[in-house]
Amino acid sequence: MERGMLRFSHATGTCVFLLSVSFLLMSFRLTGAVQSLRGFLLYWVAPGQEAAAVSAAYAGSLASNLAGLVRAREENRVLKEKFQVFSALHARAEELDRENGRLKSMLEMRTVPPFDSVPCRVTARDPLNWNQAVWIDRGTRDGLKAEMPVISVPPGRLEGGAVGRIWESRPGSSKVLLLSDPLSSLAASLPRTGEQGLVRGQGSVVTVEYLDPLADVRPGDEVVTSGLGGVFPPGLPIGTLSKVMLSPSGFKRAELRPAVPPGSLREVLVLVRKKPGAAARE
Amino acid sequence: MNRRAAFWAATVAGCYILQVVFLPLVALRGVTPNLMLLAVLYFAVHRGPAAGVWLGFSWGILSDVAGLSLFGSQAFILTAIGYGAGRLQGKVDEEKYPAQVVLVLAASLAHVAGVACLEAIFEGSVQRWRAAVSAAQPLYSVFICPLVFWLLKLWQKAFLRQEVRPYS
Repeated sequence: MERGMLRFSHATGTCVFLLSVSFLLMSFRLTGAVQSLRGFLLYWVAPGQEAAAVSAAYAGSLASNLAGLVRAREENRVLKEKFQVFSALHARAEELDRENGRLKSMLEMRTVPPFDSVPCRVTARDPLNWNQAVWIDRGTRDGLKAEMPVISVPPGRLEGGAVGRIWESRPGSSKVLLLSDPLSSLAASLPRTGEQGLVRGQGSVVTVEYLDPLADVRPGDEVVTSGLGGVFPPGLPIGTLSKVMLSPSGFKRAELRPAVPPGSLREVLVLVRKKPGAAARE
Repeated sequence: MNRRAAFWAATVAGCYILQVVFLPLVALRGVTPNLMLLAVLYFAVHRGPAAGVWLGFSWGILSDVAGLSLFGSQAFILTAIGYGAGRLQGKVDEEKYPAQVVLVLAASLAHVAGVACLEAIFEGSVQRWRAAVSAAQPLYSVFICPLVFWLLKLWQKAFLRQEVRPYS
């Protein structure tokens, strides 16, 4: 009986101690000491997480790699042919790009600074908010930092779109806040009507808010980034409207089917704004 | 490192990696079961409140470090759940499905309510309520809890062969 009492009180004491520690962490989460502690823990946790993700990806792709090896010769021939075609198209695109730049300069339009893209692999997801944040395998070492826009192309599609922005960056990894997260918002426009709105995450769904109540918006309308806010370049697809309704505030609100489903993310591109000098040289 | 310490280290690391990296394979419309909550419940009921408290805190702090939740909130909630479930040691048979369902459902709802309360207190509003309130994750956790409990039992048995249940 005495032993049972002792064990009970020991567990209760430990519980009270750990709850107090957690409470202090929550209370002082914005202080330098707690931020440093979090950074220190992340320094040890992130590599293990990354190694496990790489192992899982490797194991998952072993069978497809073997099959791919068999098909490689034929694919190589086809790709060489395609490369010839794409080289010609690339040259043509560059020419059109230059012409476009010249015309824009003539119209004294302010061009959006060009971006470099850094390809990254998704290594893990937020354990408790599965479709709201992902980890990628590049970080500050590769020039990435918070607020950089992230885009992706879903498997089997040629056109992708915006998926989110970098929330925080460590030397070898970064956390991406996806559009579906309730903390996420993005300025958007509807090319068909020119209407502007705000794309916001609602957890399981993404909505477009603050649409004019008299605007002619309907399911199927395409939604793209408007460029307001300066994080994303304008014109990137975000998704298509799936349902339009009137919100209690009097504005129209629409549910959005994302161009890139968050559950399908495997690889992403982080857009890094080129320095003005480098952009001008090109 | 003795065998028992190795067991707990491998359990904490293994469950965390499974939750973060491998659960996409069983995600349904982006919803995954809360494996760490299930493991806290199993070990707490099986081995007592001390195990529940330490495991809850360990997995909670790992979730806080890697996730977007209010830093410290998962550690707080899982520690409390681990303690509460540990107090039931010897009073419920965690191998019976009805007991598992009640236990997991109650703990999952407590987890959701806990997240909402702590966000409201510390951040002024409930930021993830719409996502967290979704019944999908608790139901998914309830659905797979027999399998998870059985696997944890096998894992424990294989690793700690010489040990017996503390209350048997």
